[in-house]
Amino acid sequence: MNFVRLIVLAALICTVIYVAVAWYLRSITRERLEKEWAAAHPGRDPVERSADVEAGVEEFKQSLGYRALWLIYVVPVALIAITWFTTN
Amino acid sequence: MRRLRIAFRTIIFLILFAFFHYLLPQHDVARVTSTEVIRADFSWYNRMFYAQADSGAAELSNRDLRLINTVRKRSFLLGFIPRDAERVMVFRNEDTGWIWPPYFKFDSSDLQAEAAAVVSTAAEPQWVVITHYGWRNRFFTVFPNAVGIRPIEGPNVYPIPWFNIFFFIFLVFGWALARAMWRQFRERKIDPVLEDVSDAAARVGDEVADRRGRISQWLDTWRSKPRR
Repeated sequence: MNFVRLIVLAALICTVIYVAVAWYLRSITRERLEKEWAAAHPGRDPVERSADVEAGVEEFKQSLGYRALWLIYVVPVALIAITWFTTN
Repeated sequence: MRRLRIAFRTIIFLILFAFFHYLLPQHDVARVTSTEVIRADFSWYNRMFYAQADSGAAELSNRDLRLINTVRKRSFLLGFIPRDAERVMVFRNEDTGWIWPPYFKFDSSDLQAEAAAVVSTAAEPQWVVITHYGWRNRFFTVFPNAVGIRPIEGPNVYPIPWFNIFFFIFLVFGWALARAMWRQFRERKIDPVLEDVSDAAARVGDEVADRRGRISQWLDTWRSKPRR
């Protein structure tokens, strides 16, 4: 029963961290793309840029760095396994 | 205000220090003098310093508690500065189970057997490194929980707390990440909304001000200035 509680708790905490970090990485990517767009297209209306920026963010979502976020789930499980193994 | 902030931060720091001092593993150089089992009747104030019943066993209000009696080398500064002085130390030996603290220890019976195997006398000491967490408190009858025992050659061994080093590096990294995330969130999600709201409030305020009579406007000059 405690084991179930551990899994539920760990899954919950990891999900919160995953969602927050994923949002953060998308957000700084979007900000960077917006600034790049502004530098490349001086004097143009920022409303036009959204399509380019969103395409860039979608591209970033496919990148290896973004997909490596699954480590947020993998690493704690590995750490628990290592701790369990070394303690016992 | 400044003093209040300093006091608040000091209290937070002390609580965190106590929390981690209780929770993180520490290494003691010691020799085991005996092992024993006593019945433990917990009270409401010392119950939280004990783990639960052995993994797989039922939880009752009292139970047997495995103890490891040792003589340990004392030290200054959380073990960083070794001393020659010795003092007795009694460890409890309990399963921590799956939840808390996260040591995932299920082998307290095996550990008790290991401790019994290295029992030695002052004349012929067998030194060991005992990994443990927790505090010894004589007034509340609280013992640190032994997690591992490793025999060593002599008493002059200085275990390096690798786990704690990496733990605090990770903690600082996590804190920096959380701060950066919060700032980004405020910049992108909260500040734009606040600007909208304050713009709207300013517009409403202008309209109301136009409709007011002269006397109330004069009265307003006696009131404190509205915050921006």
